[in-house]
Amino acid sequence: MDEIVDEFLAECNEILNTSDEILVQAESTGLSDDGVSSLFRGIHTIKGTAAFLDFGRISSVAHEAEHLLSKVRDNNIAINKARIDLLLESLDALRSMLAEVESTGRDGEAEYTDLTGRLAAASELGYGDLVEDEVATLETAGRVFDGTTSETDVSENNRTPEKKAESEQASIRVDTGVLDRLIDLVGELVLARNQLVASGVDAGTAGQRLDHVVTELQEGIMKTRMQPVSSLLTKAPRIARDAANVLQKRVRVAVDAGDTELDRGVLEAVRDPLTHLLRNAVDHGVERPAERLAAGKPPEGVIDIKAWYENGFVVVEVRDDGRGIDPERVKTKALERGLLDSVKVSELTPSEVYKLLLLPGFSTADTVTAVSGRGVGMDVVRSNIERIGGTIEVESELGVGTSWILRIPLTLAILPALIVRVGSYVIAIPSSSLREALRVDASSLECVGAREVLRLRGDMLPIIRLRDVFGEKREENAESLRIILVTGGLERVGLVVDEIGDPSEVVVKPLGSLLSGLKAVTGAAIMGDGRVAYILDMSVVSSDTSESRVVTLEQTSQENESRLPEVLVGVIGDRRVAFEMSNVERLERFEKAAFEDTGSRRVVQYRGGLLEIEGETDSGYVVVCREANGDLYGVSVDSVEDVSEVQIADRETYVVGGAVAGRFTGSTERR
Amino acid sequence: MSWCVIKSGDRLYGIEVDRVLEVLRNAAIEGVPVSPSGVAGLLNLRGQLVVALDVQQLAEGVSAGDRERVVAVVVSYGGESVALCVDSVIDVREISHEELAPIPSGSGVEDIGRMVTIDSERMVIGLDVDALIKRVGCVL
Repeated sequence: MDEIVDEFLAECNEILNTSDEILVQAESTGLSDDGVSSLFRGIHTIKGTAAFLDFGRISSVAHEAEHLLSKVRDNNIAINKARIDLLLESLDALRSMLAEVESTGRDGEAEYTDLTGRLAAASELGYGDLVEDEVATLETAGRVFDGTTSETDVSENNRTPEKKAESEQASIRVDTGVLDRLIDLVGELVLARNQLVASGVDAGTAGQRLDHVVTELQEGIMKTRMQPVSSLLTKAPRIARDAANVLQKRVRVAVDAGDTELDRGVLEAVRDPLTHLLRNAVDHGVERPAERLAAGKPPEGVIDIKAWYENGFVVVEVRDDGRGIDPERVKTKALERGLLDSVKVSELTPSEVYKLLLLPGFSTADTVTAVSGRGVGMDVVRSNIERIGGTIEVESELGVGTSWILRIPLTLAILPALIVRVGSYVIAIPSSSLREALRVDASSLECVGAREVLRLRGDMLPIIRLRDVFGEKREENAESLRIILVTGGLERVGLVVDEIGDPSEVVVKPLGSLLSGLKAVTGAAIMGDGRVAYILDMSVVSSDTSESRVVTLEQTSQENESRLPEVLVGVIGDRRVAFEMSNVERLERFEKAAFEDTGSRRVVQYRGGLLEIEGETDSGYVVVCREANGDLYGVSVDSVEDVSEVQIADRETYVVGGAVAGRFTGSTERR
Repeated sequence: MSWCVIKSGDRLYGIEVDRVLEVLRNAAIEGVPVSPSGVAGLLNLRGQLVVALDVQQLAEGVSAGDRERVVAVVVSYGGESVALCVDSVIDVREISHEELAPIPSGSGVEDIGRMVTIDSERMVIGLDVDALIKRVGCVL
């Protein structure tokens, strides 16, 4: 029984999505005879199956919608905006009842008598026909909506749903677990083949045939997980339409995804980011009709969504013809939000300015709307895209439009990566973030704050030693360092590795729940020789640099390079930590009982407020520091050594204050 | 109830046969960077990566040391497979639940199993596999 219901749900969802597409299309280009019959058939199926499964509420809404569509089909009434609205509303009602079925097994308590009543009324002649501006809207679209649309409409616009119906019959549903297992096994087969080749066995023509078959089998299996990008975009016109209605704007969405395909997993991962970009384009990009007319543009905004293949990635572009983004306004916002200082802002190139939009906490919307602008915007899109190994870029021209460009890897299962060695580990660095590989003298690294940096063509690049990240001891006395430049988040970072291997495509495997908390690693892959390579988590690299970034920049400009400012040296376990004196407010000693646990962190009562304590040490000594914004926080230490000027030669033994303070500040703000 | 009796360090443990998926006699494991305690490494099980746990470290708090080749008992854990690294597999025994007695507290293993004496001289700790695996990250 459950299986039947599952089938029913899956089928209904397909029907509803196709119907959505046809109806939204109908709004601008009219409804063809094929379109009407496709809608009618779909709704009829839902009605019939729902009645059979005893979902009376679903069946009754579907019945009225079907009745309305049958009148349209028989040319008794014409389709118009009011009827389209009503049909879309019915689809939504069906959708919410189906969701109810999915979670509870029943079609819910909600009664749609009002909706069914209106559907019945709309089946009569004259419904919605007299609203003048709607007629005007329809006329600007260049077609007359009377149900007797011309032949060209049929061929141009409504072929897709028909073709889909045919291809659905040629496909079956397969449990994705089965496919995943097949992918594992094929990977293993490839491995066995490689080992055979490496062992020098001459299998002659049989070996060659095995080779061909295995390669083709692997490609074939991978294909089973691929789905057309266009399936992701079927909802785009509907989403844009709904957002536009709320905002009283007029928007048309043109989708051209060509024959691009993405892995199921990737497709799901970009669904939300794309929806967000689309809503954002309607809300912030496209202007209101009056404003557009004043700017000499047609009143209806156009959002172009295109997808194409490029260098092993699928590129998805969301372009609007709206007002564009004003770089000056972005700069002002960045200053207001304290994301950058004024010196830095004035030096930014236009493309760097647009990158600011992708920083956490950035939103240029002056008012919060129902559609977007809550400040949880583009940085979420960015991190979602980066998590799957993709990138995002913004291009904009004031008054002409904005375009968001996503580069998305074809699959999560196969990752193009550069293989490097770090200590005893093999690490795969995703190719999407690679910039260049360098070899430099160890002495050319400089130390600024807590960080090592490399001067390269006038830029200061933060350096991360991957041996530190992976808990391996640093190599002693290395004269030259191999450095991979990557883009982690918005920043270029240099990663020190031991050996640089070949670029290759690795098959990504999940690590399982026991290792899900693993830092710095997102997954693992089995290499051609059977060894395990760990896939570097680029978000760790970027968060590691961004927290101390501002400090690093400030110190570069203010200090000469051989000396650091006066510091207070504290001892935490076997580490010595330096606090910049200018940040230190006081040194306090609290009784043990004074520390209170608030669940996630420790606090003490201090100067009539609560002082948050970083660190686990319980000697009672607390260095009270002041954040840039004046707030106080405490760092618990075992003891305090002295106040001194740290020389550059001592840098190995100290974690220097500014950066420590910077990191703590960063983490405090984030909570 | 059938139990797979295994040896780890100086002790004998029992693992319910129903939970055992397979036994690998000479499995290669790879170290995991900055992994939680009790994890010995990763094991390639026909293209599927399986986390290998150090039974001695989980049960006694003493690591069996880094080894490249191990005897691994692969068990089901939730929907996943987990490999338990042991010294050797001894036997399969019929042990009824009534025979299993609670382990005195303070022994450090009272929460991960119940004990029984076999062959009138050797003590076997019948493991609660889930409780053992939950110790990952919580042992020294």
